[in-house]
Formats: sequence, structure tokens, C-alpha cells
Amino acid sequence: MKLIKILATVGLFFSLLSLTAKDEVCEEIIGDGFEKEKINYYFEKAVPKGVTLESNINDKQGQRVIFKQGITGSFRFKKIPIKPKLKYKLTFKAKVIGDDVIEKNPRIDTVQVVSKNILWRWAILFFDTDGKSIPRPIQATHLCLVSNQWKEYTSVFHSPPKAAYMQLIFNNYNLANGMELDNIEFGLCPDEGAINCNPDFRYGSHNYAGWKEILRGGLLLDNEKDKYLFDTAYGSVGEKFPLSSDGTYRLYARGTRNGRYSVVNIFFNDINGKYLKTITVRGTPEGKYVDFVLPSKTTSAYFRVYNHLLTEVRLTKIGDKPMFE
Amino acid sequence: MKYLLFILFFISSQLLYSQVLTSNGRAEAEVILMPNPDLRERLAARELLFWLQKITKAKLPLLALPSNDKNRKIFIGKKWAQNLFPEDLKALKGTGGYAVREKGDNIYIFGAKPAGTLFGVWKFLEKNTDIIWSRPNTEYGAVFTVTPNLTLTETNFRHKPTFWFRSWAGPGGVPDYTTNLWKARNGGAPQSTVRLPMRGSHYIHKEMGGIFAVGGGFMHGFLGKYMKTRPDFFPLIDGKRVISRHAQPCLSNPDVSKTLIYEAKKMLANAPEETIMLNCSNEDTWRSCECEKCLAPITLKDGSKLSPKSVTSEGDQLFRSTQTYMFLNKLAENLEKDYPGLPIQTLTYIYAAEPPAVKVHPSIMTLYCPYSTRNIRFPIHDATSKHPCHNWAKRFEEWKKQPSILALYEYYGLRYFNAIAETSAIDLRELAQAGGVGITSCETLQDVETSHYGFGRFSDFWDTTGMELWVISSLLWDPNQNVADLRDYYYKRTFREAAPEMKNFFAVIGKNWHDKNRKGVETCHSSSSGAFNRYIVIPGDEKVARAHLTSALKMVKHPDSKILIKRILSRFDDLAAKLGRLMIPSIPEAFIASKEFASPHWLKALVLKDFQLPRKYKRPHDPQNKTELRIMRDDKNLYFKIYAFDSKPGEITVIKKADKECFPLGERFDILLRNGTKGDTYLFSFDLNGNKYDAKEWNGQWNSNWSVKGSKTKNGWQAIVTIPIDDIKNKKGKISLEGLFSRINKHESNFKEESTYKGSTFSGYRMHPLNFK
Repeated sequence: MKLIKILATVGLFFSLLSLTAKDEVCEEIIGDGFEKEKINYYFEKAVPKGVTLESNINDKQGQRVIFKQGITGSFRFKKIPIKPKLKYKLTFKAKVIGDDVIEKNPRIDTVQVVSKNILWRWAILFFDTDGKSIPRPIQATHLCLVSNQWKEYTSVFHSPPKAAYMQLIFNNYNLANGMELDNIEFGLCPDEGAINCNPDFRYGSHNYAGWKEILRGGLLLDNEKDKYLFDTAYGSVGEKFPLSSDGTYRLYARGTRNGRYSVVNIFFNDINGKYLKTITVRGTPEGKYVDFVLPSKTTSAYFRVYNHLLTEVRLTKIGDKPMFE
Repeated sequence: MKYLLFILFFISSQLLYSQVLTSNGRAEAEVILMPNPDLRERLAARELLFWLQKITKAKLPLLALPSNDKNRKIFIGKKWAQNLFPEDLKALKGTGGYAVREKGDNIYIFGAKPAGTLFGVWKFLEKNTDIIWSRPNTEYGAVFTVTPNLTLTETNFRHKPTFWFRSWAGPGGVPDYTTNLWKARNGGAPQSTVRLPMRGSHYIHKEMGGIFAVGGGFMHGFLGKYMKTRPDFFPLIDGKRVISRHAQPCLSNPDVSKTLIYEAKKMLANAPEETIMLNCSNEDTWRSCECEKCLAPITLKDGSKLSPKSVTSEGDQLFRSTQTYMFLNKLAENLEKDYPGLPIQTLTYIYAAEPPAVKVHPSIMTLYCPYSTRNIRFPIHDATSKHPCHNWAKRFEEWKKQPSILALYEYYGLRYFNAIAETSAIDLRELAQAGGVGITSCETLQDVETSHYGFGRFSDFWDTTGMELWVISSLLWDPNQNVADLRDYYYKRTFREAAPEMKNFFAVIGKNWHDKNRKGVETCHSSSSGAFNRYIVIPGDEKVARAHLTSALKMVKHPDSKILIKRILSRFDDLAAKLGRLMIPSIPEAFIASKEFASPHWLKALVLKDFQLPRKYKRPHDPQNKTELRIMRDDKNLYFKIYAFDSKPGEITVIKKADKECFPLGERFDILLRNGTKGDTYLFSFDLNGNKYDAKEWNGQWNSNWSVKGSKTKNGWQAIVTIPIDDIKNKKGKISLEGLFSRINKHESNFKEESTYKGSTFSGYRMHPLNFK
């Protein structure tokens, strides 16, 4: 396993280094149902022979990508042009071939958040107009493929201020794993009723969209039918999202305490990333909110949540002007 | 020659006789106290008689005038001494110091101030008997030898304290008379901030030599009462006025300054005459006013502008600190005419700990408080900090350069074993060199057996930190004393026959506490068991430290010393138990027992019954069905016996016995083991049909040579699991196990419930240390 870990790290490092402006960009690789004849049309670099396109079964149109067992490495789709500071949504369907899936080992849900390389991982990377990588914490530690059934995986994100391209990548360092991939869809995110991403964990128990760092013990859990809750553990951290317009905002949290120090914090930063202010609320089962005026010069914000079983956390704008003069 | 020897013998016996205070429990002396004495001198006489009677069994007479008896006379108070010892009084002037002088058959105990006399009496008792007030407890806290024939040995000494500010503060609302008396007996002079009108507690405080201030926090002491009438005094935060005492005032509002000065003058006019300070501090919060004027750039003396870099005090500590001290400077300037030299005490705390960009008025007494990110293991000038922007050493240097009065505000109320006295000594020496006036220390808990404010049993604090407080108390009189010598004195007087072993015990803690290579940032908020782990268990000194305590207990004869050592040992064991380590017994017959569910050897195994529903903080966490786990070992294997109770055993759903390894997806039990905190993780899952799955680092291809034997019972199911220890050893062949235990209770009716030992979440990896007995 140590060797796999090293390979994973080295692979990721070199694959990041290899990105240049000359890499191919293609807007049409997504949403076409993998209808092209050649697999390499979709990927940035030629893929190994074990990665193929196959027709869908059961009258379903188009094709799917098959990653056969025994194939390891980092697989990068071609970059897609995007605009900065917009909220996008990407979905795809995938099913894992192999034994390391929740259907065969329910404890795999734990593995997602402890950074083990036995699972297929995926991530979204950003690049500027020159093709240079824009640093972003890669969510590879918790964006994993976990099921041997066709399952939808979702990422919702705010494109960084200088982003010109995004890229979907998949990594596998477990020879026993294979994977099938279908139906990649990408576009602007429909209104989620919040500025932050994935405010009510609606995308399911294996979609950690909007969360950068999941603390040990943190886990998305099935709550009731089609409802999920997030055990934040002691201080899970959300991804930064842009905020620019002045006005009155509402921080709303619904959930249950799950530890002594139990707060939902939102931190505001200026354009240089310098900390400006914290607003805090404690989630309750009925939901609780605090209204506040956005600190001037705020350009971004992020959450850090301690000891909550969260069902919702939302930042919304409720007025253009400060409500208190 | 014979005559000469006789004369020498006669003279020496007369000299020796003249030192006798009691003889065979009979008084050979009297105590003289002026009529209508000062409260403190009266307590001085009372304490002298009380302790002499305890020690010698003799009751000395207390007289207003000396008798004609040819006995030794002990005069209490300044009035008796002022014509006889003017040089001493001159030397002690303005201090809480004391002198003890012998003249003829008479002894004089006095101070230039009444409190000095009181401190002098206690020191006189300490120097002429073997008493120590080791902790406040009235039953066993004072350790002494009953001495019916007491001969004086030290009757000429004088001492004045380096620091006049020697304050210890405990939380309010807890009985504290004996604890305050302990502080005074060891030279402390706690500060009391008077709420007018005066109450009985102030009388007691004064009697013990304490010092007085009036005032308080900006809001709590002065402006809070304007809540309903002047909302503009309160800060504008997030667009609205926060009408709360737990916030800083709107400092730019000119009426805030005027009102505070008015209130301060009113308080001082009505203050008791002993009042020596005005307390005026920022509130214990970062919440500062964000109004336009409060955020306007500050013009400094050189004409430059200091603009806020953030609306919050967290975001720009320099700006807020400068604003606060400019506000306080105005107060000081207004008071200096009517109250020249009156210190205005303020907390140099949270953002106000940042040295401001202005000179602080010389009347302002800044209590420098490196709270709470300073690593209290090391002196301020060497302090590592949890928080990268809190450079406590640099800040301390800058505060030393300010013309204001410098003191420290410390948090020595540590509820865990520590060796803080050496650290404190260095800080106090540095403070003395800088002309500082002393310290106050928070959270020195009362010596009571009850629990308050989430601190746990208060008396525990004295079991772990009593000696440190005693040593620091002594250092406040003279910080240049050798801490090792002070500790030796404490060991000898407190632990008597067991002094060498107790010295060894505390040396273990000191060695690890002061080791710079040892990780650990400690503050007053550190967990007691965590510190125990870091400075006793992790360094591998637990056994040896405990052996010193048990050996001390065997050696000690003095009954009070015995109680004190027993308490320390008990605290040691409590903290060891709190680490949550599970002690797995070695049972030579374990292998045989592993074949039989009913083997009596299982009775010797470790029993774990506390299986709870995870993620149920402060909510009902009992599972529907209980689980019991027993663990034992021999040299080769770990043995687990699971008894899974079920009220509806017929409904348990289990997968059929598979031919090969498969994950038991029905009712099952999971054992997660980890070899060392950063070591490999091993998962063992099994069910009653003997289906089993194992994985190393989540890799299911790995296989251990483990076995499972399961069966149904009338009220559930049971299983015995044997795991070879060699299979889970690390590469170096070592084993340091932690474990997590989970039962998945699953019925055909869609009922599914996970219960884990102590409710730990499986994904949390919060494992229980497993120790081999």
C-alpha cells in the first residue's frame, strides 16, 4: 500500500507539472454521450489500451467509457472553457468494478475521508488563460467512487476569479479496480437557494460538493428518504466562495449539536485573502439564523463547522442595503 | 578550670532557657497586643496563639499590656516597635514587609503597615517551628510536629517583598475563606474589587492583608447601568447597537469618556480608605464598536495616521489597542490632579495585549496577560505560541519600554501535574528587573471537594498544583530564590519521611515538562488527562512515577503527610484511568478458553459493556439491544468474546455461510485495530455464521490467520474471535494497539442499528488505547 501511496503522489505531481497552455481544449467533450469513435478524442493525453469506449446496453443511446481492471494512473479529460466567478454544476454517472465498493464492504464510506488510495478518486482542476494551474485544494481525499451500481456523482463549485478552463480528472492506483463512466453533464448551476454550494446536501451521501476539508469522523449520512445530513466532526471546512456585493445577508443553519463546542462559523476575507470577520450561528433542529451586514471589502467567505449534524447551511442575501442605519 | 567550665555551662543554659517559649506544654511566654488593634494585627495575634497552641499544646496568654512576670514577651504590632527599631521601620516603609527583633527577653513582630505584622507572624511561626501551610484544607493542609517544648531559633530577621502586587484569584460563588487564608499565610495579598457599599467579605479580605480597588470592566464596572438610557454608549456591530455588558463601549463617543470619568470619580469618593487602585479594564470580549468614528484613522503624536486594517478587533489588534489606551490615558489625565499616583489598573488582554502606538500614561497599571495561546511550559521570553501572530516575548519587551506600571496577569490555575514554578521564577525575575510590581493569577481554585463551573472537583487542583503555588508565593517575595531549594523545603516539611521519594516523583514531571524537545503546548485550558499523557505516560515514566508515590506512601509516618501523598496518588490514578486505556489481561489459559463459550477463564477477561449509539451527544444513546465484549490475550493471540443480546433473536438477519471470505452484510460485529496512532489499520468483520472479512489498510486482499466461532443463543448470539498478535505487529515487531468496536444489529424488518463502544464513530477513528497488562 505504501508503494501505491507513493505512486499516487508522484503521479499527481507530474500530471500537474505537465499542464501547459498548449494542452488541447474542447468544449464538446461533455454531454455528447461519448458518441465519438475514438476514446482519445475525450482525453488530454492518449489513454492506455485498457480504457475503451463501448456501446450502452439496453437501447440506451451513445457509449460509455470503460476503465478495465489492472489500469492505473491519472486520466484527464480535455479542458473545458469556463467563465470566472460563476457557479457551475458537473454530474456524471459511474460504477466501480471490483470489491472495494460499499455494496461489498459498507465500511468503504469511512475510507473516503481518510485518504486511502484504494478507491477511484476524482477531482476538478482550474486553469487560467495561459493554462497555468490555479491552486485549489484537490478534494481527492473525499471525492471517491464507491458503488458497483450506476450512481450519479455531482460537483457544484464557484469558478475561481481568474479561471478560464476546468478539467475533470480521475485517478486510480488500485490494480483491482475498474470503472465505467457515462453521462457527463456540465453547465451553470441552477439556483440552490444559497450562495454557498450544496446547502442541503441534496446530491447524496457520497457527494461532498462545497466542502474542502472533512475532519476525521466527518461523514455524509443518509438521514431519511432523499435527505442527508453531514456529521461535520470537529471543524470541517467548506470551500471558499466569492462574495462581492454589499448588503444584508442571512446565515442559516439547521441541524443538531454533536459535541461540546458546536458552532457554524463563516469567515470573511478580502481580496488578498486577509481575514476580516467571523459570523457564528449554532444550528438547531428547527433552523436558526443570524442577519448581518457584509463587512466592507469582503471578496470571499468560507465555512468552518464544529460538532454539528447539519441538514442545511445557507448563506443568502436578503437586502441590498444594510438593514440597520 | 572547673570554675570556668561551670560559668560557661551556666551562661549557655541561661541563654538556652531564654529561648524557651513553651515547656512540657506549659506557656513560658505571653503575647501583647495594643487595645483596639488594627484588624490585621488582631488576626496576627490570633494566628500566633492558635498555631502555638496547636503545635505546643500550650495556651499563651494574650494581654493588652505586658505583665510583670519574668517570662518571654512577644509584642505584636508597629506601635511597640516604633521607638525601638526606627531603622527597620524606615526600611520597611510603604511595603508589606515585616521584621522580627529580639531585645532582652522580648520579641517584637511588626511591619510598617499592619499587613506586614500579619505576614511577620506567619514567618515567625515558620522559622521557629516545622510548620508548613502546604494547602488550604483545614484537616490536613497544615503539616507540623507537635512540640510541647518549643525553643526559638530565629528571632532576628527582616524581609520586604520584591512585589507589592501578589494576588491570587479564584472563581466567585465558592466558599473561599480557608483558601484565602492559605494565600495570606504564604505571603499573598489578593486583590478585591469593592462593590459599594462594603460587605462582610471585604472586612474578611482586609483582615487577611488583601488589597482593594474600586471599578471594574468598562461595562460591568461603569457603563452597564446606562443600558436603557444611552444605547449610544454601546457598540455598533453588524449594523446595530449591541446592548450588552459583554461588549466594548463606543470609545469614540465623547459622552462615554465623560460618563466613565464621572463614575470613576464618584466611586473613588465613596471608596474605603484602604483603596489603592482604580480598576478600569476592557471587557472580556473581542466585540468592539464598528461605527464610523470608532473606525476613523487615529492621528498619532508625530502626525502620522493609524488606519484600521479591519473592522474587527481580531483583524487589527494594534488599532484597537491604541484606541483603548488613548481612552484610558484620557481617564488618567483627568484623575491625576485629585488622585495623584493612584494606579489605574487595566487588563492588557486579548487585543489590548498588543503594545499600542501611543505612550501609556504612567498611572496606568497594565496587567500583561499572554492569554491563552502562550505555552505556559516556557518563560515569556522563550514562549512558543499556539497562535503565529501572538509573539508574547516581543510584546513583553515592548511593554517593558512603556512608562506605565507593569504587572503580569497569569493563569497558574493548572489542574494537571506540572512544573510551572521554574517558568514563573524566570518571568518574575525578568519582571522585577523591568521594575514590575507583581502578578495576579486566575483560577486558583478553592480547596473544596465540590465541582463547579465545569472545572471538576476543585480540590483536585491542589493535589497537582499545590506545591507550585506555594513556591510561586514564596518567589513573589524574592524571585531570586533557588526554586530547587524551595521545592526541597516543601518536600521536607510537607512529606516528611517520604520527602526523597516525593522529590523523585516531582522530578519525573519536571524533567519532561521542561524538556524543549518534547511536544506539547500547555495553557490553563489543557486537559488534565492529556497533560498526564504527555508528561508522564508518553515519555514512558508512568510506572516509575507511580512507584515513587507508592514507595513514599510506605515510608511516610506523619498522618497528615500520609493523607497528602494518598491524595496525590489517587489523583495520579484518576488521571491514568481517564486516558480511557483498556487493560487487556494476559491469561495463560486463554487459548483453551477460546474453544469454549462457557469457559470460566472468560471471567478474568476485560469486560466492555458500554455500547452506545454514535452521534447522540446529550441525547438518549442506549441501543435497543445490548452488547458485551470480553477481551484477553496470551503471548500469541488476542481473544475476543462477543455476546450480542437481542430481544427478538428470531428476527436477526445474517447471510449464509460462504465458502470463501466475504463481508458479512447482515447482523455483524466489527473490530478495528490500529497499531500505533499513525500505524496500520486492521479491520475484522464477522457474524454468527462464521462469515468473516479482514483488511489491512482497507485492502481486502490482505489475510490474517484469524478464526471465528459463532453460535445463536436463546437471547441473541455469541462469537469467539482469535487474532494472532504477529499478524498485526508493525515492521519492527512492535505492538501498541488501539481499538474500535462496533455491532451492527440487523433484523428482517428493516431494523438496523449500529452501537459502538462508548459511542465512538467508526469514521472518526477515535480509538481506545488497548494496553497489555
